[in-house]
Amino acid sequence: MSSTSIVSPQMRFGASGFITIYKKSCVFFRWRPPWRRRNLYFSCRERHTRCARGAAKIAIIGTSIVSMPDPSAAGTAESLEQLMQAYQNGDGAAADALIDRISPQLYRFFMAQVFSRKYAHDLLQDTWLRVHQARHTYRPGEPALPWIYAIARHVRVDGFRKLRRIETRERGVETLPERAPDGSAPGPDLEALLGALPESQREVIAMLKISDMSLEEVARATSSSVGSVKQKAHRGYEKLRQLLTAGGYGR
Amino acid sequence: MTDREIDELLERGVGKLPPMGAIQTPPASEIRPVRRLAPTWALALGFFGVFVAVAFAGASVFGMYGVRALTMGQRIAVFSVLACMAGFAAVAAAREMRPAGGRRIAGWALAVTCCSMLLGFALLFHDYGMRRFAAQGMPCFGAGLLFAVPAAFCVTLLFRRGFVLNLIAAGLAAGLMAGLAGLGMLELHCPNLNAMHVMFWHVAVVVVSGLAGMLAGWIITWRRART
Repeated sequence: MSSTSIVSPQMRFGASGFITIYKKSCVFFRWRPPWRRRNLYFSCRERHTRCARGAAKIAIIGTSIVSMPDPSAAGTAESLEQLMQAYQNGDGAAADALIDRISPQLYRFFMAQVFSRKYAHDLLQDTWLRVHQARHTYRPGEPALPWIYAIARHVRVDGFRKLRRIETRERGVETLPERAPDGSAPGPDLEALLGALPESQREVIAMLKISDMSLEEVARATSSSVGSVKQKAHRGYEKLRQLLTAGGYGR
Repeated sequence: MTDREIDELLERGVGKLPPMGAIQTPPASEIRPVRRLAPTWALALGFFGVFVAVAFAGASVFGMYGVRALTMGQRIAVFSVLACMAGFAAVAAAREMRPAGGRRIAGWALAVTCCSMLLGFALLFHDYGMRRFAAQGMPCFGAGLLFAVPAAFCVTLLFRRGFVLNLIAAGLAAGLMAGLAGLGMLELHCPNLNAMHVMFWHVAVVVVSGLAGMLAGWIITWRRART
């Protein structure tokens, strides 16, 4: 018995021809539809980072089982979330410990941003002032680092607006001496590279790579989704790659 | 260049940092226990309550002629769309009250909801005449804005409990909330079911309130940058 099909041979030929032309065009124009794009680097790195953290945790647990705890030890290190909760409950020592622990990371974050290098210390101080004012908004059980970084981001943006306004009205009275070279091997100018990126991409790259935050933490801090963070970082890296290659640092 | 090489460049580029100065910590007398902010769902419920209270209060002052003029199907359609939009605005406003409070609602989602509201009105009401369009529309528009003002005031009081970082986004959310309260009052009160009247004058209350809220947020941000 012969089978009949509603799809004629001509239609089948036309459809396969269309698909072939579409695939060839994608290859020619180096374009992939969004559902075919995979940021393999970030997913791999994320997996490796999680594996490394998991392995580190197992190692720590294993070591603590094998070795006897030192009775003279001051106490186990508290997590940021525990310190934040204690701070909300009025514990001054917890506030000091939180500041000591997070300040270096925030300082690196401000130093990595082109504008805020000169004012990194002022911005850091302003951030902690706002953290103190906003401490009642932290929800116990939620990660504390994105909450602090959300405040730091806005301090940086507000500081940029205020200081840009001041600098456009100021005139330099004397010429400042140039910064002495630190004697390290010449490399690409990081300020110029990062300055060429849009602010959203620069910020995401600074949080991911310099502050060493995870994708979920950056997404929380920037009030966006993990996919959006990946996309911004991917685009930032593409731009950096182009600039570095044009500057002769790439292969 | 590979991504790892770029990573190494970035880490090397920040390099040796100048020493970080001492950070002034708040004095011990200022570190007191605080009352934590309510969860986001409770804040959103509070904003939604303001919307419902202002809409019903306004309609009870002016009379619920609009509800009586609508059929049951129209009532369900109109008020369910209004409730969805008010829910959107309430969640957006609640998320702006704390740092890292959650993902901002995408602009396209807001646009789609507004368009669906306009489409809903266009499909529900079939009289497209423009008789006395401005003469009948201006009083409605004014009444809607009049009731958006106390709603905006209540919403601002709620905002003061939190810590808003992005004043422009918060202003937009507050303005939308207030505008929706005014729109809710108009839908309960106004018996004019002319499609053009509803689609233009009633919806304009929401648009103008949202823009006014955004402008207020921008002005406050600008003034803070000056001080």
